[in-house]
Amino acid sequence: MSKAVHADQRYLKALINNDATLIKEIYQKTAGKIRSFVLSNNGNADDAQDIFQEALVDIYRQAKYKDLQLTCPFEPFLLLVCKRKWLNEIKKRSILQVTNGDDNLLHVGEDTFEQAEQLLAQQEQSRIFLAALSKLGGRCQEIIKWSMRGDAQEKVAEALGVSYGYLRKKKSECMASLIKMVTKDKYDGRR
Amino acid sequence: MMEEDKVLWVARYEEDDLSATERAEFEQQLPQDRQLQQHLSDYREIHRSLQMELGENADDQQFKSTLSEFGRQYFKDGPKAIKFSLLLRWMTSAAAILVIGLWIWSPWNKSPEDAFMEQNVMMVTDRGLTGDTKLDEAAADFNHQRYQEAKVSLKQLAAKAPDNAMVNYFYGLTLLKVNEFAEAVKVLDVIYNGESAFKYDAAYAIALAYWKQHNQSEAENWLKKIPPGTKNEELIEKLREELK
Repeated sequence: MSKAVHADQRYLKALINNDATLIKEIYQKTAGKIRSFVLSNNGNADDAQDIFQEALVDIYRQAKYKDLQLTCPFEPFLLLVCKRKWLNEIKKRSILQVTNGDDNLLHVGEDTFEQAEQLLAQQEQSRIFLAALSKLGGRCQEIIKWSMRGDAQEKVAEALGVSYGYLRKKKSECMASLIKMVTKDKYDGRR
Repeated sequence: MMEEDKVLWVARYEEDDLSATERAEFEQQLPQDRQLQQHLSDYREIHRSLQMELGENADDQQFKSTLSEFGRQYFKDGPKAIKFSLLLRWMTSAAAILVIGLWIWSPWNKSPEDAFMEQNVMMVTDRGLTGDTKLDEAAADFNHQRYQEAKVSLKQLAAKAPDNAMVNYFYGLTLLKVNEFAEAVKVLDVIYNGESAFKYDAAYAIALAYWKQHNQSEAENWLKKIPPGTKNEELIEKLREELK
């Protein structure tokens, strides 16, 4: 049975609609907490701003393009996503010591953990898809990149100087190559 | 059929590259072939992810611009260390000012127009528009409620860029604020008939223009053009209350 959508779904709707009033409310409520967390963990105000914005952009994109449905409260969800992102970032920068190492930044329920993990996993998956795309031939990359821009496919064909029929055929082949590459990695990874 | 061929079959199905007969065959096979279902699900997931990563459009850029603007406000000017005694003195004064301010400002009594204008901040950064002095000046004038000055700059900018929805929208709002209703409606009507992110904000602003002219029925007509679920729901209710 699917879980009920939380009333805070309105914040996701606000992000999609670029609703300045509610977005401001999000900053008012949570920016200070993230700023304190990042500053006390080897970061500066710029890092905090970047992490916060990245997290909101990730949530916005998942809501807009993948119909993300929030089943937990928004604020702890956002804080948790920011926190995980910052922890990943300091790992990358090889700064090992972390204060607030366990999740004592906020009290969160299982649902929030689960949803934050899902969001981050989706982002990681997208990164894998893009890496696979970069391994395809130049023409395939060009066709896929143009096709994903949201323009009518007839217009894409025109821009690429090919017929609509050729575009459909070539895009099918390119996408099939990409899927094979990605699913092969996925299945190999499970072994 | 080999598994690899099934992946291509799914791709051709999704990209509308199958004949009617092939398509029917695919749809007949799908319910009983779990492998095919899995490939179809993978395909759609990957396609959506790529669209998400590669399909950034004007709305996405505008959203990021909003975030950058708030980011600067909420992260760059962080709390500063103040001595406790100074802080206490400051807080006492601030509390007094706040009580007087709230009494004068009365946000709970704010008119629909004031509430609407408050959420309209003209942001020109991060859209490839910075560096245009005229536009920066217009934004500063608009955001500081110097509408007569903003009107002059925005009129020139709108004439130069008739397709720029943002410039024309804020020009329309400026005309509304200086009570040039007919011209405001004319400018905002073009925005409403377009497909920009300002479409329904423009409809609301036109409703305000009619309300300010005491034309209740036209104001109501324009409110009806705004579909449910837009960000202005509370403002719509507020204006409807005024129209009663």
